[in-house]
Amino acid sequence: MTDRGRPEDRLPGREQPELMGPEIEEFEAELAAVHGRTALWSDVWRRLRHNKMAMAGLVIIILLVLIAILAPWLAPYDYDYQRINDPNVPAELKASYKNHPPSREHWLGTDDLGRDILSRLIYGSRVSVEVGVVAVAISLVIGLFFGALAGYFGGWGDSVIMRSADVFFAFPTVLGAIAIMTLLGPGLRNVFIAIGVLGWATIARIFRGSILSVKENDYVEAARALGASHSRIIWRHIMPNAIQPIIVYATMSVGGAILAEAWLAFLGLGQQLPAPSWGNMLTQYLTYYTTDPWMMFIPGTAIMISVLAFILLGDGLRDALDPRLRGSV
Amino acid sequence: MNGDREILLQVRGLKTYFHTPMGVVKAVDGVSYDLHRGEALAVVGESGSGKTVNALSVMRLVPDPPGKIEEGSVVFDGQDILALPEKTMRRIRGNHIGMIFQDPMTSLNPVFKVGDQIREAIEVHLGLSRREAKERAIELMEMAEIPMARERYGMYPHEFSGGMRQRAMIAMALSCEPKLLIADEPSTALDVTIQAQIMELIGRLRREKNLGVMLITHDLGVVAGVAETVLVMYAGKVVEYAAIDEVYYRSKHPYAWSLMRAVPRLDEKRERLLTIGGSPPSLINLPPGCSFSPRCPFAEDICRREEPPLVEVEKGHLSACHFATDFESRAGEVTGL
Repeated sequence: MTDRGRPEDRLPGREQPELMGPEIEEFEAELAAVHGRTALWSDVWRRLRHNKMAMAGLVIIILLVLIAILAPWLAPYDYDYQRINDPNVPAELKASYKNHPPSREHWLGTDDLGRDILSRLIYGSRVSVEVGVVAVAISLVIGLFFGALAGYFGGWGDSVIMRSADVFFAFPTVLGAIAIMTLLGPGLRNVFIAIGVLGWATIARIFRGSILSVKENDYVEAARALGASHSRIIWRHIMPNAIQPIIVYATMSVGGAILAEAWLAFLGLGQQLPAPSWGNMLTQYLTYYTTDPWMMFIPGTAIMISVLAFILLGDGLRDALDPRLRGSV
Repeated sequence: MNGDREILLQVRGLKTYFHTPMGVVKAVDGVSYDLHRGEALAVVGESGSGKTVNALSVMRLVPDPPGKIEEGSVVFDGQDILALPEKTMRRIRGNHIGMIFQDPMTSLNPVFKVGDQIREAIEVHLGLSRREAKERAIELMEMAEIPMARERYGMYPHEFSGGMRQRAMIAMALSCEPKLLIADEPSTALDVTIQAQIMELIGRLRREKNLGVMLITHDLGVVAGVAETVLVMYAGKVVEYAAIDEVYYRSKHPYAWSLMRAVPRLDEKRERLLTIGGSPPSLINLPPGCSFSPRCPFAEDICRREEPPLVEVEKGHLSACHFATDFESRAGEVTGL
């Protein structure tokens, strides 16, 4: 951005200028115009809005969250209502409700106990949203703290933290998650912890790198020269400038967490039946892939669309946040 | 010099070294000077002469590691700064010593409104309420001659031009009425007309607030109108220290003398600009004797053997040259004046 033509450059200099009549109106209009396009985040939003794929991702994510929140009102049946065991259903019809394909009554069909798949899918979205939010939040808290420590202070603490991160990189995520789950036992809360704890290393590494470059900026030195404390410098001056790659990565890793939940459910380690999660639904329906293959596609598609939505949004955010593109749209 | 004024900053035998894998870099190597209340001291030297490290040492902002203040004392307003705990030092920074930096384009945090950054400085030190601090910030912006300060309070750094940003930096540095302002090449990144305005602003604020100013620069033209005393540094050492007119017109050190001759002047016709031959010495591997001797047109054997001490050649005029006493006549011979 050049400085030529800025309103203040036209001012004669030292003396406070005495602008008159139309001149001052023009000046103020110009100032307002300059002022109108404020702020980094409105810039980011403006660019994001023009990215159709990212907006599609965002819309899907918003829908997903709404569905999760409104599940009890949206679901046509209780997630554990078993039509096969319903005394009101005539005995001769009961068998037909096992793995019933989509119909007017059950839009997405029923499972082996005659439970409404749509309702289970709607309730299952809660698990996915929770896993995404909670696991990534855990990763963020741990990762940002240690990343900031390592990047800002450097020295031996940096070495210790980054070598520990390397340890986490050394074994595959799934294996690590299984190991942690074995220690903590199955259950949804432990899935959050396992996925969250495993995610810190990447976040710490990204944040550290980001801080290393941001802390060289003069405004950090300037803040120090003004007597700001370390924590103030880190959280107020460095963080907002170093957080951009983290936003992108965290968005995408929500998708990763949803996928990891499915993975762990496949091993029977996640949400315990009869409560539904997309992961345990998928695992359950896989049993029928020869006779009723349509079943497994339902939770499978839900997982795929959600993961894709987070990746699309993350991708769009990366483009929107890229400072090299700033001001180009 | 300035015998009647109270000493604000007294630096004695300051040594700041950087320990690098290549060896020890003696960035500041035994520097001493006084800065009085309300005095404007220019610290002049080439890149790598140690002028910035000298300032950072006073602020105790030398990156450690690799840098370390090895020796010497820095007494500010009666307090030995080098002995203070970090927490007390933090209160001195910003509160009693303000600092502005070379590049106003990068010295403001891009994600915060300019006014909020000034307000933050006030809140940190003076403990005013948010509203009071905001009003104070606007006053400061006006003091720094930012037109339409109230409107500009809510603008982001990228909406400011370079000159305006430097004014904002000055407002921020002076927000807590410090006694000393350290300006590290405050006008280098600005164009010439804005440079003059910024220097004038600093000069005016110094007079009005009886502010001690340490002006670090490599541009001698810039300091002429503002500084009272000049400290010329070369390879981490003080080579000449005197009132500004003394250094400008009766320099007693070949380095300072060459620097003055290298300043382009409007009233002289020159085909080519004068330069100082060679380049600054490596601070890891300094030449024996006088550090300037390899580039000095007057150098003799003694210069390559013995390091000249900084001595008071005339009252208030210090020079570190073996031939300081008759330097003026030697210089006259060379130029044929």
